[in-house]
Amino acid sequence: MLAAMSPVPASPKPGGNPVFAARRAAWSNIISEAATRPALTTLIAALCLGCAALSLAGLHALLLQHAGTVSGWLIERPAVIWVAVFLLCLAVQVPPARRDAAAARSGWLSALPQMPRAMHRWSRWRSFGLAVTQAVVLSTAVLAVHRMAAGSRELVAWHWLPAVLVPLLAWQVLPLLTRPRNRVCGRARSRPRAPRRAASVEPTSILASWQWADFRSRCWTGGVRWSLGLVVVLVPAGAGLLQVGATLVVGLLSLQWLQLWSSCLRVIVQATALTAALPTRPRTFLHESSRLLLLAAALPVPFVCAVLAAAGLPAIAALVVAVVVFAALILQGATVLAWRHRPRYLNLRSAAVLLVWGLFSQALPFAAPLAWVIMVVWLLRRAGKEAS
Amino acid sequence: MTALLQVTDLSVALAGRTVLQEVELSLGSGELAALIGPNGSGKSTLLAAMAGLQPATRGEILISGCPVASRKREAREQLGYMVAQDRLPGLLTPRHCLTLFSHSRGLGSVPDSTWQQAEDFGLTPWLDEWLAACSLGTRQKVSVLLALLGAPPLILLDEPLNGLDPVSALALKRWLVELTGSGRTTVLMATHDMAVVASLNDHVIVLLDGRILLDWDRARMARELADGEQGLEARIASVLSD
Repeated sequence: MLAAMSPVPASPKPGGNPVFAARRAAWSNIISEAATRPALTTLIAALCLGCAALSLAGLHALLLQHAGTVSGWLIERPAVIWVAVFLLCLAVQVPPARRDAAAARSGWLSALPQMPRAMHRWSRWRSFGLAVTQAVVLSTAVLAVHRMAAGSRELVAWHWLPAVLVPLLAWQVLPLLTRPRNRVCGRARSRPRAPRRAASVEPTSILASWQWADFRSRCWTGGVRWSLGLVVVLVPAGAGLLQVGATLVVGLLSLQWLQLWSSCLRVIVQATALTAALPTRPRTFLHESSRLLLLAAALPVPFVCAVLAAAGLPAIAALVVAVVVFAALILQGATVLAWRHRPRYLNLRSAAVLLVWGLFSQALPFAAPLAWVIMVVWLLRRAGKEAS
Repeated sequence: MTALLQVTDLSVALAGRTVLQEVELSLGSGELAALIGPNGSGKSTLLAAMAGLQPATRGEILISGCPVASRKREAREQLGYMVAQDRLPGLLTPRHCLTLFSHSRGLGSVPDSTWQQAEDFGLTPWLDEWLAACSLGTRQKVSVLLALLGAPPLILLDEPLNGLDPVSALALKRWLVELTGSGRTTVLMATHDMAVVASLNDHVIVLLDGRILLDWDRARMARELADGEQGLEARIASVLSD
């Protein structure tokens, strides 16, 4: 494997940038690995293209429907709109820049003499790339709005010029936010941190307690804080205090639940790797690892019901949506358990399983529960077998 | 007598590159064997293959007559494998790890002997610290304890003395001698420490470029070193350089 993963990148020149060299080597590894598996690469490329086409079609349909409203916002409240966009652009750029700053301080290349400057240069170039990409995407979006809503109201240069300026401004502001500070291992961090000392009592389920510890270590990372900041953008203009509060609470709960769910799944894979050489009985492992997972899958049911009912959906319809969410989560959990020994394409497998069930449910809605039962039973039978 | 560990014609490939070729070795009960070889010679891969973590492209591994490839769980009931210290999860404590491994081994709780070993290692104050906050040496001690837990018939250790302080290293050597001395446990230990090999081990296996270069049991070692001209370290160094 090492041979395939190491295409022998050229060593950085004495005055060269080691970060660029490391990133170039990493990318050439990925490309050479993709080249050695043409069938899988083609499949992933086809899936990505399909997803991109679907997203574009969806966006186009959405714009066709709402272009007039969007252009209205741009004309009536340009300042609010562009400040929100500015924050969004900044939010996309800050976490990777902070990770780079942390890596420059304590990463594997940090001992190199050219390091802080080299990482800074890399970070600036990546931020520039992101800013340009954002500028292109936003300009295209505003142009599309302009063309589609041309009949209703006129957008002038001032209304879409910020689409270029805002991302570039975000790029300029970024270094001010990620400037290295003279304090011990910056508290502002995007990486998980272990909680304080653990209790000295043996927990009843080590795996459940591990899943909980993983969640606690990630429940308030930089990513979560920035995502919460983005939730503010979702608050409609002119909303009352209660509406703002409700949006923030719903956003916070959703983000925390998302962290809990991904912690449960992540620990299943990590625990499988840790105990790989042990004679663990699959049934015991499933029993131990699925306690918190089931609880996490059930948590959104009342939440989704309440939110949808509050949004005006009939109670029965809200309940159906909540049950579908629960069923999809159980399918994802069962997929992770079934392929926990080979976690390499786990996300792809989960997506494929959900896609198959989703397509089947679309074609034959009344047979969807039966299909779900068959798929879950098959996945759990696979999960209950010894690793081959 | 059935060998506790029997490796026959074993070949292992990683991403198309052959890492182990036609490896043949056999260990009896109560042996304390050293696996020596330059970096990248395949020592860790061989240990991983014995634990069933690395599939063989050819050949067979039997532990107490049980084929590792087809009856993994039965084979793993017979062995303790040392997890590399950098693979221990930072969000567990040493106590959690020991409990998890005890449950996975089918033991009701962590054996008293393991708590005693933790005490001898000076690990007790660290039992409830997150592993992410522990030093390399402390994590190494946890890795070693996990492999020794429950004193299985075959223990596979990958450079267990790395990072251990002198007191802990001495304690580990004493346990290994005690365990193998009882005749119920066999230890195969990959190491670069020739002083330890010369003083402790009664079976030496040298691996070079994925092939067994030298396999001396106690009797053979005594014969080879009988002339007294060269010690074990010098002999192995000369074999490797040839």
